[in-house]
Amino acid sequence: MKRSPDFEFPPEQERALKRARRLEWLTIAYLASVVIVMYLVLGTSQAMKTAWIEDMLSLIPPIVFLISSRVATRPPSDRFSYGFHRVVSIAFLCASLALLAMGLWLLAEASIKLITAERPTIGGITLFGHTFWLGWLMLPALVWSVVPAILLGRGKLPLASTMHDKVLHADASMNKADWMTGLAAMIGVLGIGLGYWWADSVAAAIISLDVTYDGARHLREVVADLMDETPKTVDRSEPDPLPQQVEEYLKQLPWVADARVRMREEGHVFFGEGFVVPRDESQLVNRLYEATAACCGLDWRLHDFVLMPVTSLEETDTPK
Amino acid sequence: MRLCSALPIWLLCVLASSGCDLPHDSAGTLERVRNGEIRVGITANEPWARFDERSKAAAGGVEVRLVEEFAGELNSEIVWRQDSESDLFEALRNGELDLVIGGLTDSTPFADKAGLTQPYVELGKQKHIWAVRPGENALLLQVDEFLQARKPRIGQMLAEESPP
Repeated sequence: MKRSPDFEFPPEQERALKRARRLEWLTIAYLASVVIVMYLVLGTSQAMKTAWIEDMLSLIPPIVFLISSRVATRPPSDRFSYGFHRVVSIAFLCASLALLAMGLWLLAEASIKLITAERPTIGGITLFGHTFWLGWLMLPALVWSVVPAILLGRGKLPLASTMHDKVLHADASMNKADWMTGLAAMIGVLGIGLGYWWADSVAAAIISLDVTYDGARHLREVVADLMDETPKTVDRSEPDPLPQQVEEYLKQLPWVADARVRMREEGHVFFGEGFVVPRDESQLVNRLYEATAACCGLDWRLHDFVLMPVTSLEETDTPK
Repeated sequence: MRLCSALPIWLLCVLASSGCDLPHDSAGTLERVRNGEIRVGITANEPWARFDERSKAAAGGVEVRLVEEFAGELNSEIVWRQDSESDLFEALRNGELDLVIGGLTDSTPFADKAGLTQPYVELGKQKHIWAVRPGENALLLQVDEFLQARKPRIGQMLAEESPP
C-alpha cells in the first residue's frame, strides 16, 4: 500500500502551533473559571443562563483543537493510507452541530418565556452580613466572561492564519465576538433592574441567535469541506490562490503543452492532482518527479500532489 | 467606532446611569404597598403560619409574626388570603397577591411562578424562604434585607411557638 507522505509542520508553523496550544490550554482554564463564577451569580435570569451555557459551549473548540492538532499530524498507516488530517474536519462537524442544537434550544426557551410573559426576579445576596442586589454581582461576572475572551481571541487569530487551521480560526473569532454576548446579558440584567421584565428574554434570544448563527455558519463550512470543496482561505472569504498558482507554474514549464489542477483540503493541508499534456515523452518520469517536487515547494500546505501525464485535457477523453 | 457596536454600548450607559436606585419593580409593588395595602397569601403550616377560619385572619405562627413586623415597617395594612400552595402561587403569578408565606422551602415546585428570597433559616435539610410576586425586584430585595437581619432571632421565635 503506497502511503501518503508523512507530514510535519515547517518551523514557522511549528512555532505557531506550540504557541497556539499554550493559548488554548489557557483558554480552557479561563473558561472553567468563567463557568464557575457565572454559576454562582446566575439567579433566575434567562439572559445570564444563556450566556453561561454559551461559555460552556465555548470549551468545545479549544478541546477539539488540542486533540485534533495531535492526531492530524500522525503518520499514515496501512489502514488510513491518506493520513489523519480529516480528523480536524470531523471534530469541527461535531462542534458545529452542538452549537447549532444548543442555540436553537436556547432560542426556543427564550421565546417561550417572552410569550408566556414570565417575569424574572433578581433579589438579594448576603455576603459578609450585608444584603445587596444580586444584579450588582452579575455585571462584573459578565465583564470577566467577556474581556479576557476578546484578548485571547485576538492572540489566536494570527496563529490560525499561519497554521491554516480552521478550528483555531473559528474558536478565535468566536472569542473575539464574545463582547456582543456580554453586552446583551448586561443590558438584560439592567433591564430587569429597571423593571423591564421583557429585557431579559429579549437579551437571551439575541444571544441564542448568535450561538445558532455561529453553529449554522460553521456547519455549512465544514460540510463543504468534507465534500472536498475547492480550497478557501482560512477565514472562508475567498478561494485560495494556490491551485491557480500551481497550474500556472506547470503551464510555463518548457516540456508542458497544457496543464490542469484540482485540489481539496484535508485539515491543514492540501491534497491534489495535476494533469499535464507533455510536448514529448522523453525523460517523462524524471520530469514528472521534478515538477511534483517543485509544486510542493511552492507552498508548505501542498502536501500530497500527484502529477499525471495525459494525451489531452478534454473532459470527454477519460478512458471508460 | 462603527454604529452597530457604538449603539448597544451607549444604550448600556444610559440604562446604567438612569438606574442608580436599582432595582425597580416591574409593577411598582413596593411603592404601592408602602403606606398602603399588602396582599399576603398564607398556607397553614405549623409552626410557621396558622389561619383562623372564623375571623378569616392569620392566627399566629413564626412567619405570621414576621409578616406583621414587615408590614409595620412599611406602614402597610395586611390583607390575608388563605389557600393551598398551588393556588396561592398561581395568584401570585397573576398579580393578585404580593407575598406568599407558610413554611415554604426553596425546593418548592412552583419556583418559576415567583421570586424566591434567600433562605432565612435552615431546619434539617429544609431551607425556608418566602415568595414574592415575580418581577418585583425592589420588593424582593426589601424582604431579603428584612429576613436576613432577623435571622439570629428565628431560633428563639421557633422555641416560643413550640407547644410546652
